[in-house]
Amino acid sequence: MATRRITTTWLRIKALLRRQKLDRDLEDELNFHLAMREAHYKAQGATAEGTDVRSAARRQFGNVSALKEACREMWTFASLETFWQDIRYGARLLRKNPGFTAIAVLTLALGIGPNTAVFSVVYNVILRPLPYPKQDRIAQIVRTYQDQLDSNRFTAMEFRFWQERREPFQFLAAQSPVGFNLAGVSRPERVRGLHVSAEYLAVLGVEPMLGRDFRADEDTVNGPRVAILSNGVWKRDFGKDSGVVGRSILLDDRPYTVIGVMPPAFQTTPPTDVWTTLAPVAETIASGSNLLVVGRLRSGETWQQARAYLSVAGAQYLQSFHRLRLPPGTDFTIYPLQQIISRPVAGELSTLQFAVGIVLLIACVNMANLLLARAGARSHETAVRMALGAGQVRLIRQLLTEGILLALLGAALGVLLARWGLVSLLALTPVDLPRAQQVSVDRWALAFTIGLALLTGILFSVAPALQASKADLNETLKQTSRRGTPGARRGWLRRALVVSEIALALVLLACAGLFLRTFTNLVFSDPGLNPKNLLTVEIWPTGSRYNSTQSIANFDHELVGKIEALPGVQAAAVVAAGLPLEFGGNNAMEVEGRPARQQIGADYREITRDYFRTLACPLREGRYFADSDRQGSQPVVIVNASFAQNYLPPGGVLGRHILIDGDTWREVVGVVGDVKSYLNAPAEPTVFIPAAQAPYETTRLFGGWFPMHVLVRTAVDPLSLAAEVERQVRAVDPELPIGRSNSMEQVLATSVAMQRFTMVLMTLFAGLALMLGAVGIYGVMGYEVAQRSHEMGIRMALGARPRDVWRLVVGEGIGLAAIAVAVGIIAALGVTRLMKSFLFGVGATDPLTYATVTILLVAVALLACYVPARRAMRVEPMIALRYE
Amino acid sequence: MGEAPQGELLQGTLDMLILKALTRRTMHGYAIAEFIQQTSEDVLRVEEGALYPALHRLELRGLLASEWGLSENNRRAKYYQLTAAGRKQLASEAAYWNRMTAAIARVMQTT
Repeated sequence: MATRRITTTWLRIKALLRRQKLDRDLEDELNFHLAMREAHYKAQGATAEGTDVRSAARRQFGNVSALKEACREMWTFASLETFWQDIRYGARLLRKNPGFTAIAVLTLALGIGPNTAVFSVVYNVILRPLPYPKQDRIAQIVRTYQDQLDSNRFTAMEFRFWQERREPFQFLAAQSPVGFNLAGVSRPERVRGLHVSAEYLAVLGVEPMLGRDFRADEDTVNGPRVAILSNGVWKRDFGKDSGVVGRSILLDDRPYTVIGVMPPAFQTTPPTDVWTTLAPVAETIASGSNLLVVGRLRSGETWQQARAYLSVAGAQYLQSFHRLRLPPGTDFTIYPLQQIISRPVAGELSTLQFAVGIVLLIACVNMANLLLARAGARSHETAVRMALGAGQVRLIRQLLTEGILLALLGAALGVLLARWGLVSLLALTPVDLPRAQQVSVDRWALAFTIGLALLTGILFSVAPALQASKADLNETLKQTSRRGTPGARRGWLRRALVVSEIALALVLLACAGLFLRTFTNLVFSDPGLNPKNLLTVEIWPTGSRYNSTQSIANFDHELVGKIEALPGVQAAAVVAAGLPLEFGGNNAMEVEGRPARQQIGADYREITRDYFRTLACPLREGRYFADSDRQGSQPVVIVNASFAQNYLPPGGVLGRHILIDGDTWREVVGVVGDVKSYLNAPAEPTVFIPAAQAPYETTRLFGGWFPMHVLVRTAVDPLSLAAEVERQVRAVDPELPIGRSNSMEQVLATSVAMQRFTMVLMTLFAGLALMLGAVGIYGVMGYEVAQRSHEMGIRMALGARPRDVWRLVVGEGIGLAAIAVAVGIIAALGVTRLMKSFLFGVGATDPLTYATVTILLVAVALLACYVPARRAMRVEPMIALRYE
Repeated sequence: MGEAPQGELLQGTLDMLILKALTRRTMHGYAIAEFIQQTSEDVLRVEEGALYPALHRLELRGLLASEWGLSENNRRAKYYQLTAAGRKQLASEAAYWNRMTAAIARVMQTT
């Protein structure tokens, strides 16, 4: 039997390829038989009876067409044939209704495209496993406080502590980012560097493509200066020279030997161009909390075991490093590296994914409505088909094919939109969005969204078909397509869908409105300084050369002098323990007049004389520091307005004394304006002391956590002077590590980068939702008007003025919108509550925002009703009535 | 002309008769119908509506092979012939048919 089927199938395939020949042959064969029969009758003398031989033969033959059909069908794959027919018919229908097709396809595409783009980012940043072998075994050591993540940065000394307790780990390493000036190559450039300990690449599990990994004996304080290059830099600056291993390059004017090149797909977080050893900077950069500690778990070691081990080690840590004065409740544990990397942005990204998911939902609702409306408009055609003998299955299959065709078209456009959208999205993302470099259109996201679109297409094509096939054929056939008022009951699904999508659009609009206000509040909030024309340079003056207050003060003085001598520089200063608009150092102090032993915590900075002048931060009372404020003279302190307000009685500020960190009582000589650390929080109460008077132990402590910053007020674009300023730093001390140079405007922008990103996208999605909602209303209202044109005609014939008809239609639209707004506001109130932590200067239930978006929505709804309403107005009563 | 008593042919039987008709030589559809009619002395009249579907079905099953040629009066006609599989099928069906008719005859001959 099996061979029989194979033969049959094979013959059918052959026939498939020669379709026309098959038809012709059948025709010929039957005609031949007909001719033979004619001849037979002729021979028998039937003409004697006057009958037409031909028709007699034909009559005898029977139904030729049916016979041909029957034979033909045997030779075809019956199901394929009808399927192909359905597709062609569906395509023709879509072509003949370009408006409907365009709206449906666009709707789907707008649902699929943005969703796929956003999910691609979410997937790559949060969900996708890191591109290292067995990446689920790579962990980062972190410090927790009361089980919440507190800090993941350590000093070199602390790293050594962990290295002595490395039982759970097969490999343990540390990393610290830095910037280098690369020279000695075809094109000198600034590159991103990473100081890593010897086992770093082993932790990640990747070996260099050329050359070799670091050796343990190279990672020492006086070890050879060696570097491993990234594949990108190797291509760009070394022209893929396979003999690069052993070459000498200059990093920050110091010679390094290249010992290896990494493979193309390899990258670390943060992305790096050059890796070099950590030990040489152990005393400087790594004397601060600037190391991330990562490790690869030993095989067989469970996460639980490792965590338990670390907890025990943590108790020893608190003892060894008691000087850090970490509060009880501090513990140590490990997190999977992948999780740590995405943590800072997980919240915002999830919000965005949720928002764009709503857009997809709205798009699907729109699709559903469109398909339902179309099915209703074709109920007449469906009835005719059924009268002509189409089975229910055949009908459903045909409608299904049309729905799928539409869905596929929408999906195709959606994919294009996703690609393009992703490119735009990436251009917009904050520079430090982790792992964003590897983002591409994600297959799973695409599959999911296309699947959802197909599902909607199928569901809402089939549902009305099922409904139609059960309807009374007679009734439907008697009506023409435009006549008859559909009962209120029949339209309920459509209305419900429209109401739901408008409500969803309102939710998105509310969220977007809140984000917009947050962002504007942030941007227009006063940071307390003038960020224009202000350069910041990060330096790390730690180690043996800076081991006393005097040496640091001398360094500061010399450096500021050199920089102020530069053309284009108006003022310069050095600050320790934190830059404005960034997180800074905090210290304990007692205030004269307040109960002794009641210590307060406030921000703490060590500054040079012209700090406030450089920032353009105003003086409220008293005076700035002067050269006379130095070691040996009266200990002084300046406080900011926030500190004075919180801790000092009004009018009794100057002359009061403050004890900082148990050192010595200092006299308050000035009050300055507030400068913010975070734009979305009030300024921290802060005290400033002259760098020349700073107790060395305190300086060294904070120098471990924070770099010093050189601040330069310029008359020209600050970044244009960056290289020159750095050169001056090197002129004072050639060995001093220099970190990043930024303009204060860059620092400002970075501090709100994530909020800007979120705001732009939310607004975009809300806009999309609004547009789709408008299309939805327009579609439903338009359909209603078309269906009820007969009723309109009667009304107008009975005396209604066009105005009244217009009011009728618009009234309905407004009615729907009103319900939608009510539902939407309730939903929005619930949703925005979850967003509270992202907002600034505006409450989650801000009435202004809600009122604005409601008005916007109602206005758009009115607009969407406008065209259908006008069409209703223009119905000619005679024509409508005549249409029977 | 007078009508001889018409016999109704089941599909399976018609298939067998067609196969039998083609044992000696190749024929086109009309000739096959004529052959059956004449050999059965007008008892079995094959309708075109039954004949051609049967022929195509047999061809699809690989029991017949077809070829286009010129008929006696120079018209294009499709000629059918038995394949090896067709011969085997005919043999088995004929054997079955004989067994059946013998059995029925035995039953009918009892008094």
